[in-house]
Amino acid sequence: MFSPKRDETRPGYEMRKEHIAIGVMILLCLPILAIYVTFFAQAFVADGKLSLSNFRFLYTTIVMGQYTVPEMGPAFRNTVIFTLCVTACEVVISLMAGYALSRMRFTGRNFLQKLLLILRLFPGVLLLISILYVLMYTKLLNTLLGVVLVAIALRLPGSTFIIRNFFNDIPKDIENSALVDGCNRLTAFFQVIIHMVKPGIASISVFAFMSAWSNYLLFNTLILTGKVPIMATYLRSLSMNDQMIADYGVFSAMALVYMLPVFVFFIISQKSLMKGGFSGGKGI
Amino acid sequence: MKKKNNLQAYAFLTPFLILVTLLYILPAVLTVVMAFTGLDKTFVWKFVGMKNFRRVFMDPNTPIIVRNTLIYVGVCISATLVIDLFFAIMTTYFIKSERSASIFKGILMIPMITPSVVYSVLWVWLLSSTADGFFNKIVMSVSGMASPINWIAQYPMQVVIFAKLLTSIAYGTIIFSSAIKAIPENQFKAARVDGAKEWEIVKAIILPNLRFHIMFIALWDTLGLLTDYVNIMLITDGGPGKASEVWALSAYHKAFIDGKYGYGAAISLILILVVLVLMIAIGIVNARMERRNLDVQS
Amino acid sequence: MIRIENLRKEYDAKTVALDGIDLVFEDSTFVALLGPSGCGKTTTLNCIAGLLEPTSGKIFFGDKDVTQLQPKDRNIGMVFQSYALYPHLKVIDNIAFPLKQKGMKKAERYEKARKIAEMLQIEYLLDRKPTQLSGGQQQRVSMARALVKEPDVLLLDEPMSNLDARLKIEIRDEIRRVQQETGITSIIVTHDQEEAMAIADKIAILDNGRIQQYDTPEHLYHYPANLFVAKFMGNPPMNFIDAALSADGTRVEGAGFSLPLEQHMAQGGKKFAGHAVKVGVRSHLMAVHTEKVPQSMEMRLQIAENLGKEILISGMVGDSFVRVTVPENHDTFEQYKAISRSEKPLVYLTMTGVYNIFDTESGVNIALEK
Repeated sequence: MFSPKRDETRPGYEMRKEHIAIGVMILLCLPILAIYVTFFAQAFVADGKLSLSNFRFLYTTIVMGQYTVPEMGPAFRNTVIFTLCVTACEVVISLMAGYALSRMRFTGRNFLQKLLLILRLFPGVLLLISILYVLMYTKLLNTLLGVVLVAIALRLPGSTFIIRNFFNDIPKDIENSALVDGCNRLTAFFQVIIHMVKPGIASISVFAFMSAWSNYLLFNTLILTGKVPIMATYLRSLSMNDQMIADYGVFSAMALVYMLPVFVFFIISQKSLMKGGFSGGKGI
Repeated sequence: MKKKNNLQAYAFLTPFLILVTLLYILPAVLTVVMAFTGLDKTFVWKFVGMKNFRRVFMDPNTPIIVRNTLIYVGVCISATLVIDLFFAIMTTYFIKSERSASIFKGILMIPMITPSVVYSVLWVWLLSSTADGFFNKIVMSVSGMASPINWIAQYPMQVVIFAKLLTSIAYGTIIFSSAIKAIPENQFKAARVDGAKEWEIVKAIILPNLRFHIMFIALWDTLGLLTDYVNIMLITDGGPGKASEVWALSAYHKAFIDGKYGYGAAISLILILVVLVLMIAIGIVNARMERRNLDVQS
Repeated sequence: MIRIENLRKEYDAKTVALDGIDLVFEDSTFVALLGPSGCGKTTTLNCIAGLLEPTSGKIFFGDKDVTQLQPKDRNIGMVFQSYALYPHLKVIDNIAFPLKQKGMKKAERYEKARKIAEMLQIEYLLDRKPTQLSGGQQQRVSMARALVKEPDVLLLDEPMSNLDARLKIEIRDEIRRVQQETGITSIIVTHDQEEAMAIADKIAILDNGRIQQYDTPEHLYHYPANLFVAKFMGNPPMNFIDAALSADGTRVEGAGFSLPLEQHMAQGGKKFAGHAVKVGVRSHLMAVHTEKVPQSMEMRLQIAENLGKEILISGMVGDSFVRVTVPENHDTFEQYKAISRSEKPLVYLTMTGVYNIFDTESGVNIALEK
């Protein structure tokens, strides 16, 4: 459609417009960058000087006046466990369900397809109140397991929808060919089909990761005793403490460490995100 | 053979079905039931009929909350659509270099991928009420004002709207961007040959071609605006007072802060009804798009 | 030998894809399943492959009833219209894939893959990925993969549809050559009758889920069993002249002609006495006379064209449009042109070779009555 490169065949006025547009964009994007950079720069300043001492929370306890900053370890550990569990389970379960919905014939198929569309669009966050009740009833309230299950359940329709579409794009002949070449359904799946949805798997993994890592609401709502801290709730409680907020140095250092994986994944998956292959804006 | 097929398929579907039924569909049903009960921290089910709904209707805060919600959604949607279109046109129509466009879109995405807790602290820091506050420093040096302003306390709705806006720019921009790329080059060539100016091209070619995408984003973002209250919760928590309280947040407060689950469910249910209407609308737009072979999401 | 017995395939009790197919495929023969879209040829092939389960009927490979067997247990090789190569594997892994499923060790299966690649002249492509190959090359890889396991039968589902005209002929010859070299029983599905005639030992023509005729290309061409087959085979298509059988069934009579029935049609003549019929005759199997001769058909000459290698004259015999081709000759051509412009533009056609008579109502070739 549009030729991406500049070459001599493009008229001057187009080039000029492009330059103006670039200028405008730089102007508008600058504030965003300025805010972020300024904020996170505070992590590298202590007592007015450039230093890394704010990062000492990584290996030692910090005391600010009369306030002892709680250890970040447990929160970080829980976040990692939570994220890995949710991501792994979400990918595997949606892979299985997506495959079944795409390639298999069974009674109730049409019904489930329609249900998938509804569940995917519906904002699960509205159901938190009754989800709390269900967890309480099953004695999973205040447990990491409970939140893990809820997180997976609410994100499954979205991921399954995406993966199912990836499966839909695989030509039927390829699967038939594998069956003729000596595979049964299972071996065909693992030796051939799964390789063809690798981009789909990659993309939902990234979204699952980023969503789980950033999760705040679920833990805030479904863990009433603070028994299972995660990075989000940890940072939140710190941010409510006046001592911490007096000087953002340590906090911004912690926030930086927290955001690092998100940034890394973001840069890695730039390309697929750009194509608009989003999973949930309705996610938690 | 059919039975074997069913067995195979449901083996694949079981984990999905169990999780989704127990933790998604069941809660949905429960929410409807709960709305008609007075369930609270004692977890005793007592049927109260329409009492919860009458309470919502009678609550003096309700008009404020409704007004806030409408302002919040209305302003955000209009602003988002305009801004998204603007950025999409900038980065796709005017800027031909893929790399530059990607970089800009990437920067626009940063607020969206920032975890809510960090994002909200960012805003609190930015709008700190002391003279040292980032924003206060700028405003004071530009306008020569003597004393700093507590932005969050004084302009809670504006702050919350602006904060939300920054996070919702990226999605629409990317969708519109892809849509613009898909417009056949010939339409532009014909217009240029006819001597059309840029603004006319936007009006006559870009906007009509993006009709369905705009509808989709409008509906989709409205859905999100109505139901995503985390940012508001973390920045102002609906305050001061009820100045920035929106409908979804009030359901949260009633349920999880006040412990009135039944009442909260009723408030949620009303919102759910609105959401369902929106979902039907999205379904219709999607169907129309499919008929014309357009694609929004992979 | 592959045998299909009363194969039926129904969808939703309303759509009948296969309406009772009986076929026998002799060993080492190349059979084409030919017919228009939706006739059931691909459905038949998929049933033979085991990719589709028939509603009823049986399929035998030799003496073994394979009807319930999965594709992987039938020892077949299949080439798909879209080639269906595995995009994430290199060509050599694609070809060796079936052997890997059998549990063959890497060295051995690569050896076999190389051998077959040699036979199909694609050894130089072994390290590439499918996306780096042209259509014709992908085709050959697909064939190699199908043949590497030395299957009992080779199935081909419109393998040449996606190729351009020149490649089609090249690949067609290639497939034929490979089939003859390996002696493998092969079944090809195609809608292109020219392709079927060129490549197959026998052709089964299907329409609406039924076999119309199963015979050698030559017989199908010259002795079609019914109107459908007659209209389908041959390019240019057969001429059909409306006529009727006499009341005693010994003559066929039309506008401007009355011909005695040939001996092999005698029984048919008796059965269909008095019926309306169509006389089917190929354009190049008629002679043109400028004077009336006995047992000829009168044709109103409308157009005479010189095509270089032959002369094509067209006109009406009664109400039927007829085309006749005769060897090119300048004088004859001028003569025909003159006749076409004259006041009585009549010529007279006689049969010089095979012709058929079909009962108009049932479409059946009356010569089939014995």
